[in-house]
Amino acid sequence: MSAESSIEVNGEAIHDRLDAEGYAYLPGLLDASEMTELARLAVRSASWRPMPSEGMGKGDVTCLTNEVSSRLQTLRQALFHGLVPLANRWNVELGLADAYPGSFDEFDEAFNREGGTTAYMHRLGADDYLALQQCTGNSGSFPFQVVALASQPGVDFDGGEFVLTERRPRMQSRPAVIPLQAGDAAVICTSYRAAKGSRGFFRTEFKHAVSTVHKGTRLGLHLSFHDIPWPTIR
Amino acid sequence: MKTHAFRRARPCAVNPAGIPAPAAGRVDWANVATELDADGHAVMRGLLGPDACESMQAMYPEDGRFRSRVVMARHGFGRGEYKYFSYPLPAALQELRQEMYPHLATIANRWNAQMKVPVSFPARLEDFLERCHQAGQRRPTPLLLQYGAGDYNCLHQDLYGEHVFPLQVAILLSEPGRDFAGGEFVMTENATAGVSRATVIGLRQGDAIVFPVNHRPVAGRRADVRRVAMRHGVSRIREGRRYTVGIIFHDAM
Repeated sequence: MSAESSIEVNGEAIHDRLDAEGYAYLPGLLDASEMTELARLAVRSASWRPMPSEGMGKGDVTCLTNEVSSRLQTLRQALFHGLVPLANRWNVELGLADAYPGSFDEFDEAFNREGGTTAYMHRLGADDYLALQQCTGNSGSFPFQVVALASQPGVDFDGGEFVLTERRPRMQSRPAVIPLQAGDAAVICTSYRAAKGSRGFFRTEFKHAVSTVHKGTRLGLHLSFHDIPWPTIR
Repeated sequence: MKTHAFRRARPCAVNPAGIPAPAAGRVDWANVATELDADGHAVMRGLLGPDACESMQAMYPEDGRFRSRVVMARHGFGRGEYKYFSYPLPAALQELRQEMYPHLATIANRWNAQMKVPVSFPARLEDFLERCHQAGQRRPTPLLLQYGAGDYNCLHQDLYGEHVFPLQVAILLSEPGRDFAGGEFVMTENATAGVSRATVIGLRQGDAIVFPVNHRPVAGRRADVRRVAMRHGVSRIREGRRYTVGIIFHDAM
């Protein structure tokens, strides 16, 4: 898969973006066949349901854990290996004792349990949105998640911009809008990052959201490394 | 990056002094009120024509028009800069502030009644400004903002003292895609019960957005009205230059 090799090549660039902005934009991460597969999964998924709470947003969500193709699993694994050194560096910088295992299998065992999911899709129609939220885990969280867009803005839907906010201690929050097009993805911070200040490192807090869709349907993919409680996604 | 090939043709009245006249008189205020009630913001498409936008952004280097310049990074507000106009305001801006105020005061009074805020606003801008000035808020707040590549504005509220007019207006003076990329206008609201939203408002050159300074009323489940805190900001400009004019109706200490 082309995505895998580009992750290898751009590992440092991704780290730089995450260090600076708390997200790394990965244009064209999903190729045409992956997009087709996602659309197919979306159509045939039996688990679509309205979002379980107002705190999550308005629209439909479906869990893909047992349906995600081996290619998406490979992508998840490749990204994990690329990101785990940064996750551990941030923990050191923030003085946190925990270190994530370098092995994906070990990580998977520790951070994934029955009843959770690591992949889901959102289907947002007109007037739907995703509220500002964090998708933290059942048994601890990996500091990164991946979001991707399977519909084309301006063609399949209007509105529905992906927003990330970063709250900094004693300072105003910083808003970011990630310009996702169909097939694009971004690595985003799950809930925090280590930011460098004049006196060492400090912790900032992230939330993400999708602005109201004005018309059409926006199909978004959310890949997580840790498991997220299902169906009560926070 | 700046070309005028795709400039939209818009009627633009020019008065004898050559200052493009604002178009507040053409605004559908009933629609503005409906959108504000439903969404917490309202967009007035094409409030200023391209020429008015160009002449307003051209004022930025003319320091004589301004009372102060703020470099946002120095205060942790973000990156980029803005300048507060001095009185007298440029004619077009003065006219807009004066013409829009009574329409917005009607909405503001209704909102305050709904939120049980015991403040009501006089029908004329002069009378409201007199109230601000009596309380020592004498300095004009309309401002011109300039963002370049890499700049952004953190989520904030424009409060300048005890007297607050609860609605404000921002007009985008540059054209997205032609003059700049990125630089989205973002609003967040922190509702009670843990529900927060983020909204991106797509604006083009000359479009104005009316939005709450700090709170808006949202209907609760049981015919009650909740007071929801709002903040606004601008995401990072990826390239080019983005100018906005902000019209705040209360003056500052």
